[in-house]
Amino acid sequence: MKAIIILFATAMVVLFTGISGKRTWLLPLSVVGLLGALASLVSDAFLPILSFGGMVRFDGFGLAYSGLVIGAATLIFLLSGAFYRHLKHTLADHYGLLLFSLTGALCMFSFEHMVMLFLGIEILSIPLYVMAGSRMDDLKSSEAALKYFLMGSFATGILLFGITLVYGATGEFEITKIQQALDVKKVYSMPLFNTGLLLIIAGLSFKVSAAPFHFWSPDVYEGSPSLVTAYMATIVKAAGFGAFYKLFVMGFGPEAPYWSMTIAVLSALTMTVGNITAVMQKNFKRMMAYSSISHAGYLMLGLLSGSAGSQSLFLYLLAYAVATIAAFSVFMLVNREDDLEGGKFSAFAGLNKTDPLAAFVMALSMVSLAGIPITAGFFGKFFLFAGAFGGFPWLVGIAVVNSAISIAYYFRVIVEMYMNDAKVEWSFSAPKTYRLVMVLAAIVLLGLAFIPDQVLALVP
Amino acid sequence: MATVSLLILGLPLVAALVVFLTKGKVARFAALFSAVLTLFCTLSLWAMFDATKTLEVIRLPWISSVGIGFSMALDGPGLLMVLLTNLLLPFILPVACSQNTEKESVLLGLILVMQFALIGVFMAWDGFLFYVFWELALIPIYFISAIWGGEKRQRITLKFFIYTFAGSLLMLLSILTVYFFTQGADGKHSFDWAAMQQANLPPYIAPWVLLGFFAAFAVKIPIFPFHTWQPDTYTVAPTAGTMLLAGIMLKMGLFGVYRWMMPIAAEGLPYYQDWFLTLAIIGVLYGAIIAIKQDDLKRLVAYSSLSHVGLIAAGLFVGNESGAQGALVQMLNHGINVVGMFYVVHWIERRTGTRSLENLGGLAAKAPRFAILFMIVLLGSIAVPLTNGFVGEFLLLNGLFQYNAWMAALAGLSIIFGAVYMLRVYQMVMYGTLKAATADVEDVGKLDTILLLPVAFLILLLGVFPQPLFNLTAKAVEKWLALLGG
Repeated sequence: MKAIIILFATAMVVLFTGISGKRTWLLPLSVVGLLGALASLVSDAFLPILSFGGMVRFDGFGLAYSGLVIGAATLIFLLSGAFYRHLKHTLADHYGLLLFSLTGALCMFSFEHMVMLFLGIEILSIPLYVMAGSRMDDLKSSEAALKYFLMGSFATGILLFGITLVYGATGEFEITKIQQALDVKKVYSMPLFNTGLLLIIAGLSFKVSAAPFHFWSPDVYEGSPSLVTAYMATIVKAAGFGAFYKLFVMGFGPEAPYWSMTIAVLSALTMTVGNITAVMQKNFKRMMAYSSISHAGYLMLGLLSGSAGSQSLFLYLLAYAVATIAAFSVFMLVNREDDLEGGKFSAFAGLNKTDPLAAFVMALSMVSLAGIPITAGFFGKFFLFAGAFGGFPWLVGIAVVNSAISIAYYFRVIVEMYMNDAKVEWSFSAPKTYRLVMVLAAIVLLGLAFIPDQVLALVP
Repeated sequence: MATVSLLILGLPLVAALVVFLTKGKVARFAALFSAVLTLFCTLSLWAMFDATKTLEVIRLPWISSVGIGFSMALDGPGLLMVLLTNLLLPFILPVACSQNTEKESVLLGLILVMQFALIGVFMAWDGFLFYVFWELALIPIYFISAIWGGEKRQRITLKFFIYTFAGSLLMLLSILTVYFFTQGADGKHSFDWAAMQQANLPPYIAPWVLLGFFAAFAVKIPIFPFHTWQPDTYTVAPTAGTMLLAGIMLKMGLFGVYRWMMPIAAEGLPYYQDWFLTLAIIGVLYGAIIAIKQDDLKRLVAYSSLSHVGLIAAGLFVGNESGAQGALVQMLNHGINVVGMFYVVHWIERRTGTRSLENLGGLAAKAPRFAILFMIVLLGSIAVPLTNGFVGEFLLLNGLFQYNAWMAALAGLSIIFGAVYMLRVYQMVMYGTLKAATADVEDVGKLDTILLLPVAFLILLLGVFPQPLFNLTAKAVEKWLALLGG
């Protein structure tokens, strides 16, 4: 609860500091605010769980997932200093918007009342509509913003409609009460309730870019500035799945037999579409977009493994977020101007010779995203697969085939870095903050193998 | 003894880190020193080893919430495989050095990481840990082949990687399935080998579990028709990589069949045993027949290896004493022979600049000492009596004969084919007129002799006196057969 307030306050302070023109203060201020929010999560663990008049429930689940996104946001902020080096006047706005958006993610992990969920999604999304178009002179960026905004607002509309129908069927807005109501009333036979569920699934699927609601994501990922893309690929995805899990497994859990098949089919579709399309990409950011779609497919397995899903989702999201941020940090390094031409795979050619650390971290993230032992991604995948295997063996079978396909595109980057020669001469070295992020990411990706039990224990 | 085993596991990893951080001669020395030291430790472990028991190496909790432990153990066959790995490493490292490649220390380091992973596979006593090491072994060999390999390496090695990775994932599903049927000491599920072995698989599940394991092992061994990655990868990889692949890595697959697939999914075996055997024997004949027509020496040895390992796999699938004994012993022998053969090819290529049989000829006159060493290695490969190859192949065919005489007869043809293609190679390379490529070739140098002589010696020694190997495997095979029966 304190974390939300701290983040919000930090964003305000950052905005005002921007007005007073102290550009160099902005980044340290934001990072301190983020770390403060992270620290406050620890103390929140001892406070009453329900707050804001029963709208928000800060339980272990919410705390752990909030910690995850705040940590990921800190890494992204560390990268932002060098990324926004050309930005003169609007830097404070960028930081402020990202921080506001983060508070939305926190609301999505800790909502109790479904209105809070809706608010969280809107707080998360609206700053991002702006951020996607933040490079105003770039047509692609404006296109991304417009697409994201139009389709996103449509999806939230559908979600809201779904929430209303569920309210109509159960008479409740709070998810614990909905759960009780489901036990008592036989709502699963009501068309009202089932339609509501379907609409909510559609709305949330859009947010996590699950097929067939994924069409916006490749264009938006490609057009947005890379830093914003990294933010969308990690934090928005984590927030979406946190809300998805909370609403469906914790809220509609008793009705699982009625919605789980829908999710399973969506999951199979999402991972297959994402993977097969990713193989055909020539642009790194588009590849990452499709790869993030396929990861959404795997993550949906976590919704199908009952209460164990919160742990396996957390582990997977952690591994996925760290690997994605590390990959983007290297990408922003090789594609300094962040243009389309520099976004091709060939940008990575010969990286091993020019910057071995960056090449190693990139290779490690690709290996982790592909789920190869002993990286963090493997443990994430293992627990997701193991959790859903009892109920949906066929789905895990499809997931396994998809994991094998994913090698084809992840290794393309590795092949470029290690086996091809650079086409252009490099004359600069990576900023220190990039180095820091890379090293931190490498430690997490390799270190998780030693303490998987302890990480799982963070989530109740 | 457990300490020595841990040392054997840990030394290569430590050495790899040292080698990665150093360069040039220091790296070479560190790598070789660690390989020799590891071999010495393995030999002394062998001297102390009680082959009637299973030696518990280590047992630590790892992910205890789901019953995963860091547990390792060694029995006779396990030690035999560790011995194979550590015996071959001192041969493979100098070969890697002799190529004078760029970034040599990285290559040596990757080979040592590979050694670590292989030893881990052979010692693993926990299904999850086994899988982790199994995949870990794939990473270094991919980079070795893809960075230091020959033409078209990117496409070929990627195919190899995807192929084996897909197989491994299916095995992971099998391991998971078995896991859900286990009943550990505390009532929870467990990945421990013993628990997995005792799991009661329902009759409709067991065949699927068997097939999942088979997918991983058949790709790795490889068994026809899952072999399509093999000739290309063997040919394109640098010689050191080919030696790792053919000498040790495919033994991972065979060992997996022995340790994991057959005892754990024994209930499913009757459904598929004949299928597996038929595929293995098709591979035996297919590899041998294609080898006859090859012109590229490295490719030829690759196909001959395909034929040989098919026979070993068949010996395991029949599930009787002679077959299993023969298979285990032949795993070691094949490793020695194939590494010897690839070294011979490597030597010829280095001296003449070609691997094509067309361009070779008359080497015997130029290199008489090489002719003798080559002959011994070749005889071991054909499995002539008094060489190590014979001991294993005899038992394998005997085991196969007890199961089905026709299968044994067909598989036995491979010995004749083997003689055909191997003698053809010898004839075309060593006799006949000198060609442009072979006109001014010098005989084996000091390093070549140091490397080839022990191989030739082992081939003859193990051919005459194989008993120490059987001492290692005899008791374990008895227990293994009991597991298959019960």
